[in-house]
Amino acid sequence: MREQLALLPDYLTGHLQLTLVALAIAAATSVPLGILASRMPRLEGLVLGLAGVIQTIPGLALLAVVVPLLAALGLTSIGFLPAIIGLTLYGLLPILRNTVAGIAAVDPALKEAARGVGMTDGQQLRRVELPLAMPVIVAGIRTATVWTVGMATLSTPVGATSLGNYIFSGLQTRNFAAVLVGSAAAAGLALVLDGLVHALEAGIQKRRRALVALALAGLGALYGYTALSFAWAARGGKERPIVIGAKTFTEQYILAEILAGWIVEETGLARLHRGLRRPARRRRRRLRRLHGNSVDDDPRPRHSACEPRGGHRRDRCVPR
Amino acid sequence: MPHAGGSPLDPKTPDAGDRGSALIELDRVSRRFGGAVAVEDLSLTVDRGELLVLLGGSGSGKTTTLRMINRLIEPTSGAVRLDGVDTMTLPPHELRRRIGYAFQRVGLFPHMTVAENVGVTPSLIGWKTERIQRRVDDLLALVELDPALVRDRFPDELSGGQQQRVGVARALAAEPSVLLLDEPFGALDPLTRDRLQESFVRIRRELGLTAVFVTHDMAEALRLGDRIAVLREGRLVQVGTPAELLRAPADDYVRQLVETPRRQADLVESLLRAGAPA
Repeated sequence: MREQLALLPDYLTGHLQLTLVALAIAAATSVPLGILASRMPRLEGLVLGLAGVIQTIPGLALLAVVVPLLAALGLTSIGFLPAIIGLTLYGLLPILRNTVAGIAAVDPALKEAARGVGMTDGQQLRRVELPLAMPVIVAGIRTATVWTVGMATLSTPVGATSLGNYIFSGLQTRNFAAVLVGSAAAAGLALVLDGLVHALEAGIQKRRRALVALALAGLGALYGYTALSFAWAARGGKERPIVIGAKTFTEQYILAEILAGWIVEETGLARLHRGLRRPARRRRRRLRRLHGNSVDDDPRPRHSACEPRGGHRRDRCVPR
Repeated sequence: MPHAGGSPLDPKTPDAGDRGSALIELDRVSRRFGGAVAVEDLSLTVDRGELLVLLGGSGSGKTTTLRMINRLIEPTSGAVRLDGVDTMTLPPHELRRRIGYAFQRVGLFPHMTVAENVGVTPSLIGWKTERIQRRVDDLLALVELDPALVRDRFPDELSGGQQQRVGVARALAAEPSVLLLDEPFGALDPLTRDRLQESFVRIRRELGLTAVFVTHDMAEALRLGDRIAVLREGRLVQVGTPAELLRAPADDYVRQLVETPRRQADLVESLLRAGAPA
């Protein structure tokens, strides 16, 4: 348990990074898009439909499908990037939908009054429609927050560090302490973030400035911490980390750990990055095309490094 | 006809010509919604300092006519001139800042305090904060609300009558040359409506306002209007002073309309007589 808890700062930070960055991008895209859609009925159907389609894709499948897409574009296809893209896509719909609904729900009498007192379209939006729609928009952000925290646990298979690391490796190695720590931490994080956004929502709705300020301070602190964690990573990670690939089964984890331990002991470096693909001989070229040189070694037992060529003649396999 | 402010012969209004003091002119205005005709070939003028009542049943086009003056609805054909200037040549928001507008559903912004609501048009124009504050307090006092008491309240903390008073104060805030009122007292209980009408008569006398007032209530029209324009199915049936309408109604519809208050009074009287001790 203690060794599991020792991993918590790393995993929790990774999870926070994923969640908060994805949410920020999702909110920064969907609120303006929602405003635009509420002004153009045609765009509204299109945008909501598209976001709805994305939402029907199961979370893990959405994250997984980003990997080959990025690879096809020649971009880094495992790690932080695919996870962020998947999570952001998933967070779009609730915010988008609530922005459109919130603006649509503004009493027509108030829109008439806004025009009647001499507001321009922009002033009507800023002074009347957005403030009145704000509680609904924030409620959408809240929904997106809970979803994103939950879905971020699924970003382990695409190679991003999150609390999902506990859950996936724990299930794989039947280390239930790890599963428990991971699940509890993810649930706890969801509760904390949900509470903060809920406080923001309630503060806006009940016109309680202190509550709004408190919620914003809390969220601001978390964002500040996330920004700092990126800065630390950038400072400490000037040199490219050594990446050890491993398949998702027990021996692989053990071998990867042994190899990692050995490297740490020999070099004093201590960066671990959990990959998802094995650079088998035949696939190595393909992998190189996929990931560039992002995987340095593959600790699979030698016998399985054999690739049958032109049939199943294992004896002709060449050990690496 | 009271003439308040502005020279009777405004050089900017060559069209007004012989009428001289016409501030609002509707010149052969029509408005269609799809195939339906809401207003048909309607011409009217409102003089400076005059209160013109647009009277008619639902679907008569009275609200459409009113809203064409501040371009909340734009005419399909014809022209609306304010002070001799075609309103279509002005940006709509600038036009509306010069025209006060109050309507039945009030439309006070629920996320703004009473003071912010009243001061909204001045703040759009860019008045200094102190000037807005002074104006807000003056106006709240004018509509018989205690500024110190209501200034920082939110609209949902006020009664319907108080909200409508704030609505009228908001319409007056930027010292508009014209006030448009669309059944502003229509949703209020009779006693409150009576008190607001009384306040409104006084306010108008004090400020010498030019106003167009939409109502379907004949008694209200007779009480408030300098002239009454009767509309039916988008057309102007008759326009004249209350006395003219009562004396010489143009047709049966107008006659029935002007007689409703009297019929109601007669009914009340007969009930009183029947209930009185013999």
